Amino acid sequence: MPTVLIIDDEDLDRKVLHSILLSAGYEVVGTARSGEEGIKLSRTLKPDLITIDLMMPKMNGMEVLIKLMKENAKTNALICTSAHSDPVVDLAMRYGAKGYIIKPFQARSLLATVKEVVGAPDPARMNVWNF
Amino acid sequence: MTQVLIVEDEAIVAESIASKLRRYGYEVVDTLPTGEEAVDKAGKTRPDVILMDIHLAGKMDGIQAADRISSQYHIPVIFLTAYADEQTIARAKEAGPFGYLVKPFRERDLYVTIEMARERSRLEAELEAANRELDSFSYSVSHDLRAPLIAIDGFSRILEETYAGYLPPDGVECLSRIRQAANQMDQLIEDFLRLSRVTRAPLLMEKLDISRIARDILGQLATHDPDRKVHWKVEEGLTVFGDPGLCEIALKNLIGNAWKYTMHTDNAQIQVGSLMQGQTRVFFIKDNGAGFPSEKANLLFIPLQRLHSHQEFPGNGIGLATVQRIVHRHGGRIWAEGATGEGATFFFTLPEEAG
Repeated sequence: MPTVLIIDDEDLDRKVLHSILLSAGYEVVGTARSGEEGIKLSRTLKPDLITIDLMMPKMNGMEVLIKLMKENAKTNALICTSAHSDPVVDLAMRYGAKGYIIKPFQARSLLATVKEVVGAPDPARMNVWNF
Repeated sequence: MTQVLIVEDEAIVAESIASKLRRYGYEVVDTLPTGEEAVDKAGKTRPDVILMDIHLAGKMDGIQAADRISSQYHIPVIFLTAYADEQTIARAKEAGPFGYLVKPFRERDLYVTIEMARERSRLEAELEAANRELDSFSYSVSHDLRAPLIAIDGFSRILEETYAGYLPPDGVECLSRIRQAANQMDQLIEDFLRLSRVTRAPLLMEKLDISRIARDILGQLATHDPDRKVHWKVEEGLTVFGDPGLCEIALKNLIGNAWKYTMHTDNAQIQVGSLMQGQTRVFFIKDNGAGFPSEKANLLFIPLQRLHSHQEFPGNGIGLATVQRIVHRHGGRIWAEGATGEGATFFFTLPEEAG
């Protein structure tokens, strides 16, 4: 079953993304409040997918993505951004991101993106009350 | 018509106040004897002003009721009470009342107090709305301004790392300037955000060992900058009562400035200490660095004002504005003395005790 690590400095966004992924049947194995913490966690957890918020203080999401891709070129990463057709998305793709998620989160489209990258979740884990 | 709710357990007193108010043209929505009923009624009818006795029938007293009402419904409460002892006043203050009238009071005073409370409450609501708007504005500004900057820096980086071989040396230099400028702007946005957070974040007060915090900051600066030789002296046992996060930001800025502005000074010295000014302890951070023209001391705390060029001393002019806001939020004062080439001293006061 696909495992996910969430890197986002904002508590609310982290919780919302967590709950959307969880109720769709994905296993969120870790959450990090900063890029530094996220990079450390990714080494031990080796998740199938990492979501990275673009706007974080100190180390922004792009720097995190670049570091992660350098450490492991096979990393599946998605960038979370509120800017739609921004050059930022193009930049993230050049650095190896598999796609992007638009903030504020919308369950249907973000789950479609996640599914494209790591496949469908385990149907047995799906929370029928939410979907 | 201004609607007033009267909370008073003595029916005769309540009725007498009500009739006076009616004569002044107010509408009395109700007179209630208990705090519990007052909270309930305030929620249901949302009067413009509440006149509240402190000693009431029932379990909840007037101060508790006022506390609930002002935090839940933001309706201005004026205390009307026969008690003016220190303890009651201290407790009443906590509820954030818009007035405190001691019985017996004059009709005219009641009228003026109600009108003032109405006006202040209106202004506060306006201010709160403006602040909320500012919050969401600065949030979106920061996000929308920073995303393109990340793109500018990132694409320049790709050029630098992948295509540097195709560019003449001057082209590579231009790229590094682009990245430098993007990073400067990013830093500026982050500092502005911190400045606005400093103004809005709630204060969590606790006892702080200023001497220890100052020594830690100086130690960190020395570690980051091992080539610098700076003599520093920190007075022992300096304590204040303040918000740990904010006070650390303030000290980091002040001490960091002292460190920065002594970088071209031989025998650089930084002193953290205190002196007594009457009954008040004044803390100071003194250095023997570049200083500033003494007549420009009042410009130091204005955001973006810089008295030195970026080449001479890097910085964006938000640090001291942030420090000033932090000190003011603690109810303290901050000022500076200095002269060009003769160092600078920053003085500030902070609460030394709780409350």
